[in-house]
Amino acid sequence: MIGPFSALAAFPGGELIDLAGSFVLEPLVRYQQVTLELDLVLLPGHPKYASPSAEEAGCFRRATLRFDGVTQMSWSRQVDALPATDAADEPDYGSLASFVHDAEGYRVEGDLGVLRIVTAEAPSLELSETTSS
Amino acid sequence: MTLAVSGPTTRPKIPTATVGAFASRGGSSSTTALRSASAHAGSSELVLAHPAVAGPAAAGAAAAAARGAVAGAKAGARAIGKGVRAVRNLPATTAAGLPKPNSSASSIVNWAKSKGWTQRAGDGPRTFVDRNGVARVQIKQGAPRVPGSEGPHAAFRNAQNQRIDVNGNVVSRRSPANHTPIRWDLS
Repeated sequence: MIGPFSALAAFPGGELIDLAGSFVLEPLVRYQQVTLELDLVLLPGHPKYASPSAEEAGCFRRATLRFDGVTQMSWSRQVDALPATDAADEPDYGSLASFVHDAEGYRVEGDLGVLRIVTAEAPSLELSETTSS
Repeated sequence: MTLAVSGPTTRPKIPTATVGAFASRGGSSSTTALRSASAHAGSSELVLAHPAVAGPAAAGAAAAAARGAVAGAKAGARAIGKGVRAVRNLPATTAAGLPKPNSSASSIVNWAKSKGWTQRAGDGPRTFVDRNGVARVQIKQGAPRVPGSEGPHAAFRNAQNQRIDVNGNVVSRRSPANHTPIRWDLS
């Protein structure tokens, strides 16, 4: 599961997260901070995993991936990032294809396009206690 | 194909031009459809009957046979459609025009291309977008360790960029209906 999502390894239980099946709900850019609100898919064995109901295709949890101390950021291929809506009329930016950390910083790619984030600080991932959407 | 005229054994000869009602076994009331349906069903016999000279019983039989002919024509048309889809490797579709569950990934790719949608560049799952930039279909191999999404699946959107199931109903992004199972046959 890590593979193209190697940056997940920095988080406790990161190997038990399926970013490819997760949804980006909202990317937010503030002064020196970038956050991604997520509908995260957890795998069996994750401390917060629960068997999904018949109405859901996986164990979803609301989560926030946050980058602090950001000195540079870019968001390319935004033309790909038309948000979809669902039956609840909630927008989402689709799923992620990769999340890696390299010499140039963090790279987040998916239906939302490509985010390049430069920061000296490690990002944080905060999971909601509930599965509610 | 052999042709035979049925009815009372002592009936008058019917001019060909007056035979308005006829029926076939595994055929149809349309010559074109008849040939197609008969070819599909492997039928080699066509039976003609005229209610006016064959009597009420024969008329009833002819009507029943006509109904059978319609059904045969429909079956033939379905077979033709199936054959065309197979040749072009297109998926069977629902009434909403979307690929039915368990379609092959390659047939969905062909279906998306037949709509004029183009494959999005970059990493990640195969995604086809329409001319307005809406990602109309995305196919994924699935993740074996994710209960509920472990198999290959597809997600569809309508022209309004709403997530839909194969019947065109707007669905929740989390729902199984937004994860239509497919068969993976791509490299």
